Amino acid sequence: MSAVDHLTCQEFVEVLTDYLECALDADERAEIERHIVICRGCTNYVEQTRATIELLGRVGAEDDVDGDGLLATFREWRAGRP
Amino acid sequence: MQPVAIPSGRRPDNEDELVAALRRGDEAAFVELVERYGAMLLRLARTFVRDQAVAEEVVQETWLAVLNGIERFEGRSSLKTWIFQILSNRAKTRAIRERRSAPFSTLGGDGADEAAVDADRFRDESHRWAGHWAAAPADWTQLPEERLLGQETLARVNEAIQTLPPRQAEVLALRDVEGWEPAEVCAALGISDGNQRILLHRARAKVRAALEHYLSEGAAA
Amino acid sequence: MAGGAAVIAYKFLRAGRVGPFSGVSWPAVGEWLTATGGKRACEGRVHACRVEDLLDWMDEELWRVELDGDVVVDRGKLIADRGRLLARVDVWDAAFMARFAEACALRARDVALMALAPGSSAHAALACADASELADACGRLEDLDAREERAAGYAGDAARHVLGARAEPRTAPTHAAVNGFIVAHAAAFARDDAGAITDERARQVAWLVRELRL
Repeated sequence: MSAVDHLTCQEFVEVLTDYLECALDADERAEIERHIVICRGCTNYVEQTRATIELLGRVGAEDDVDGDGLLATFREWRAGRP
Repeated sequence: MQPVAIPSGRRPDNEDELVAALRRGDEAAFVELVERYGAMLLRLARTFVRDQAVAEEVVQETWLAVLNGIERFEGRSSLKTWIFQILSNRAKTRAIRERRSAPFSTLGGDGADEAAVDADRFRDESHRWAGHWAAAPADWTQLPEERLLGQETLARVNEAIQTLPPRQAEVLALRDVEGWEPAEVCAALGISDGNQRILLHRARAKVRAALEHYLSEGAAA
Repeated sequence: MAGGAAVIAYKFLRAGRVGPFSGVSWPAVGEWLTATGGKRACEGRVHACRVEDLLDWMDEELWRVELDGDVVVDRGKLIADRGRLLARVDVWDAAFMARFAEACALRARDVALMALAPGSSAHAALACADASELADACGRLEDLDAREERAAGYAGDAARHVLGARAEPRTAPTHAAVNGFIVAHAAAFARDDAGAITDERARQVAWLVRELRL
């Protein structure tokens, strides 16, 4: 039985971060991209990862800082300096 | 460097100016700093201590420590990194005191030998497509945007961050929530680029998995 | 290749002239796109295909392109400093991709037949199945040994991808591309020869050249 070497999906998901971080060499990048072309599952996995990163970027976007409280802290500090 | 005379009301915007102005007790400089980093510190504090009220206290203490320490700031790291490190130290000390570590995380553990995706999602060795998806991930581009990017989904993302091992949570928060560059994160945490990438990889994998679980609930087959 | 000579090649893009991996929007036909740094450090060159590379890069749109500057062949693609779209290959659409997928599935069926005992019911069942029937036919085969089952499995996989391409045209590129891959591996398995992959790929390229009138 011939065991033909190719990237599996299980391997793909482990190197995806390296791919997105530009930490792979040109050979490895080409292998990743060729796999994406033929694999619906991994295409979706990449999209899910991108969506996850986008959501992470939106975490706490509307957080409110207690500006007044901090200003009070600042004035106290300034007043207390020698 | 000669102190620069700054007309009152105008905020200094480069870092050297900011530090100098702060040392002079310039309120506008402090306001500028809070505007730049205030929300970031609050979000990061919550990664460490979970409880909102405790996080706010930690942030308050951090700003005071920044003011008290500004004279000694040497500029060897960026101001942002230095402020972050103050927060990180305070938050971790506080977290230990409050015993708020997540139930399953080990302090300092970063999950050796974790797989990004459970092995049972892939075909086993006997299959002609060994290692390929047995249950492929769904196409999220087909989800309505309000569901994918809605408030409840965001809440789930937050929950997922809270369950990460501390070192993974830290890297994920700095890279993907706060948008720091890899080099900044490595400098701030004193870790190598490779190490940073592994932690990021595992953290992202867990959050994706949590999201996948949430978004597939009640979905049509 | 010497710099300065115009090179004509092919380029797959996502719908709307979008680069599949870079996400870069290609300008209007005839306008040059110059590679810049890209949003990530490892991007930034223009990539294109020779005819023999078409199998690996399938996507929604196929264009004839011109490349300029130092053009090199690297890892199954052409890389250049700049390129421009010349003309869309209109024949390349979802229906065409489904036809390519189907041609591969029928070939996978023929490859599977090589592994089945002539005169067996399994052999007979597969021999008369067309692409629409092939998925079901493969699923219903009985009394196969491990090797026969695997060979038939590949044919069934390819047949299902044909159905997928027809049912969801949006996903046709992946189904087409993977079927080329599947039949190449099926042949390597049936012949117990990794060299079969090259042979199958050559067949597929010839089919594309003929059907796309390249």
